[in-house]
Amino acid sequence: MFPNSPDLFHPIRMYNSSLKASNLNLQSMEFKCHSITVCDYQMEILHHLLNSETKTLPSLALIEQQPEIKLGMRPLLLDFLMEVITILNLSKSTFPLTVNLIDRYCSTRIVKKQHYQLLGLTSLWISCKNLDSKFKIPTLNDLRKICVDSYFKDLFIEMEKHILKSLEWNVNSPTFDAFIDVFLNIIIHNNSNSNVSTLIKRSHHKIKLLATYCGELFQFYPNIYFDYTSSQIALISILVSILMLKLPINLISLLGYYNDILKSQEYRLNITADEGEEFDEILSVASFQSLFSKSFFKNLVKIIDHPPKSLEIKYFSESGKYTQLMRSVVHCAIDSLNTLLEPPVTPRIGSIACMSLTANGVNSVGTSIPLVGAKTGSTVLPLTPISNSTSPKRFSSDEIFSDSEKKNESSDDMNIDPNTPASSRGSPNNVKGTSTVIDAATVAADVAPSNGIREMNPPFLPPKKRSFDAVVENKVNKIQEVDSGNHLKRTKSVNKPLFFIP
Amino acid sequence: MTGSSSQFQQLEKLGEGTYATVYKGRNRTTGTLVALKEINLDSEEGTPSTAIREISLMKELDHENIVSLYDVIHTENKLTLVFEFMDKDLKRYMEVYGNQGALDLKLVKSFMFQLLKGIMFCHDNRVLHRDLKPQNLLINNKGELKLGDFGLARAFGIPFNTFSNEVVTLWYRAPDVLLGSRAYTTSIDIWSAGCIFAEMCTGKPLFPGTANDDQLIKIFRLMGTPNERTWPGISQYANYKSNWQIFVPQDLRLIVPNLDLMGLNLLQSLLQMRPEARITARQALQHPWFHEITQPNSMIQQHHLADPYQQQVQQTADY
Repeated sequence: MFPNSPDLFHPIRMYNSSLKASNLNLQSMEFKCHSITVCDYQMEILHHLLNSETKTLPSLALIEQQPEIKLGMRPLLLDFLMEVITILNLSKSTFPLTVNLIDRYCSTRIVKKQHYQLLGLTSLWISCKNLDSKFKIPTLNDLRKICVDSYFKDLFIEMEKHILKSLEWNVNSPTFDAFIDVFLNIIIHNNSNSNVSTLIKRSHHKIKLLATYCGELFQFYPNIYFDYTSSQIALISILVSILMLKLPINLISLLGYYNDILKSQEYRLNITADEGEEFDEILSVASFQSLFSKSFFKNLVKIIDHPPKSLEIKYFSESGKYTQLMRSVVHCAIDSLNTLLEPPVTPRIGSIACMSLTANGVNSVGTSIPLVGAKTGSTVLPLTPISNSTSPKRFSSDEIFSDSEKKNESSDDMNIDPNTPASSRGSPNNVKGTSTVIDAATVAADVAPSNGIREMNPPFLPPKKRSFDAVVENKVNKIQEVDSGNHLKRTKSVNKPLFFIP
Repeated sequence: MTGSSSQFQQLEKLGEGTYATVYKGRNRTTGTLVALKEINLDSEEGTPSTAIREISLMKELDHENIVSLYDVIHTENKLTLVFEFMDKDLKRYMEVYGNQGALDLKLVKSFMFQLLKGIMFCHDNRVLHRDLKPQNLLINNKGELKLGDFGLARAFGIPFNTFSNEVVTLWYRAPDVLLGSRAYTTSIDIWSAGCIFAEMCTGKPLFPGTANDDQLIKIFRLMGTPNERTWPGISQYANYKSNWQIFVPQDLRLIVPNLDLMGLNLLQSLLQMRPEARITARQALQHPWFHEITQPNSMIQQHHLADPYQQQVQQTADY
């Protein structure tokens, strides 16, 4: 632009920047300075994020119509992508954005099985271009090498064009980590309840790390991921992290605090008349409590210590920057989860109302297992593929073959279905686990503070809740023609009657 | 978003940017004028990240002070963005209508108000423009000013992310960024707005530096050389030098003599050295200097308020 372009000094500034980045004093100084500035904008930003979130939701019903792509392939693809993201040292939002792009594309177009990895890598490329500095964006050659020459370079270009067009260039959807940041920031700078905000402020780093980790874990598990929006996943992650870190905070009242934000004057100012629907709450109490009945914590205690391989590399590898903190945090988390799941003989009537509540709720899951048959198990959604099942390398080939459906595809890495009988894959998330939903939910409703919850939280999962029946069979092949405007929009009340107050 | 390039008749070239060429165009069916921003696609790079960010962000930003993106035409080797047509950019506007570049104060006030409204909308939607300069502010024949060229824009998070400090054309780059900060937020756009404000009043760029260090010195010459006392922590910055020449803060009135005191106060608030001391766009819009726009019928006029600029000068003189 002008002759003495600052670019001449680029190498020097890069060096200086890296020096600066290692200066903790400066970092904390700038952190303080800027957090004050951005606080002015937090309500506007929250409003904007919540609104654009509803416009960029994937549709599980449409994804399930994919003739070749099975939900079980998803964790394998994500595991692979997460590993790539860790190796390339990309931003923390890159992974959830990539996941969002993949799922949304799968909600608009049919993807061939052999192109699923291409879709994944290209989505990663797009989110990387969107979020990361230009020095970190992989080149086409990098991409080609990453997938070990599975695809030609032209294919990436073509796929990129398809994705951008199909998603109408809306490739900026809010990710759960952005919500975690906003939520934590709001509570820390909240003056009305200084007790809670000081508590959270003190363990801010731990909560954020654990919540981000949980949020990333949830991306892998379709039965959580598709039931909740990013903002809800963020909120669940934060609440669960607080629970696991044993902070004496009442989760229900904290949840209430967040929901009340949407009713606050400050937030309401942003709402313009023409925006149409607005939400009353981010995550309903009933919806949050339903987690306790979904054997959620039983699974969490298992996956949190044995995450998919990519997350293990990211958080627990010897040289990782999070490793030490992560180990202590997860240790604490598992400890508290175990206490929840197997509480001492005398139920703790602790000072923390909520802790005892969950303890009771989850305890009932444990005791109810033998009472319930496994009849409903086969009809519900594919279960959470537990850590072990996400990495193909952990299984001998005959274990894969034991899944009759997949025999002929065993060479393909993407082909382990989480529907596979859990026992054959060492998955602890077995059929009995889901069936306990019935009793657990009933009991959870019993201990719930609100009397109304029992009616609005039907404990039975309807069979084939999101099966092909929902859509006429012959539409399957015309999936591209489905009016995405109507189908993609998953509002917070539709599609989730199970966990939401109507 | 299903346009094809044949839909538009390409007219004269309007400008050439770093990664795109902009043409004037006409919609063949409706006859409306548009601006066509053509981006050549590199077979190695795919869609440039600037284009991805620009399009996805502009689709989110629907505001009267931000140029509208009508359509995206994606062909084999070219990406064409169809924008609303604007007559001139601010730089050209100042050349044509200004008195040696300097604009009438009434016009400056109107443009500043619109500029700050556009900036506020971006920031409310967690978008940093990161390249505000007269060339990127577009003006139509109705006197409306709109923010254009979101090629360097990006979304920011809370608390904040660290970004490249290779942003904003040097002359409009904030001192904290020049010092090497990569943890900037909304205040980066505010500094640029301040520079543009002064430039509209005088017709000359406020800090026409030639390189990073020269830019800093030019800023110090006017605003005073910062030190640990005036800016605690400054010595931590990567580009800090202990042997900077010491300048004392100058009176902005000497630089922008035609601006009234209230305007000078706003300018001073926009051009704060320390990012956290810089006014936000929302606060700036409520500044009394804009009262004749925001409260045209109000009896509250500037004179009954104490002159805050005098106080500020007093403060700076204490340094």
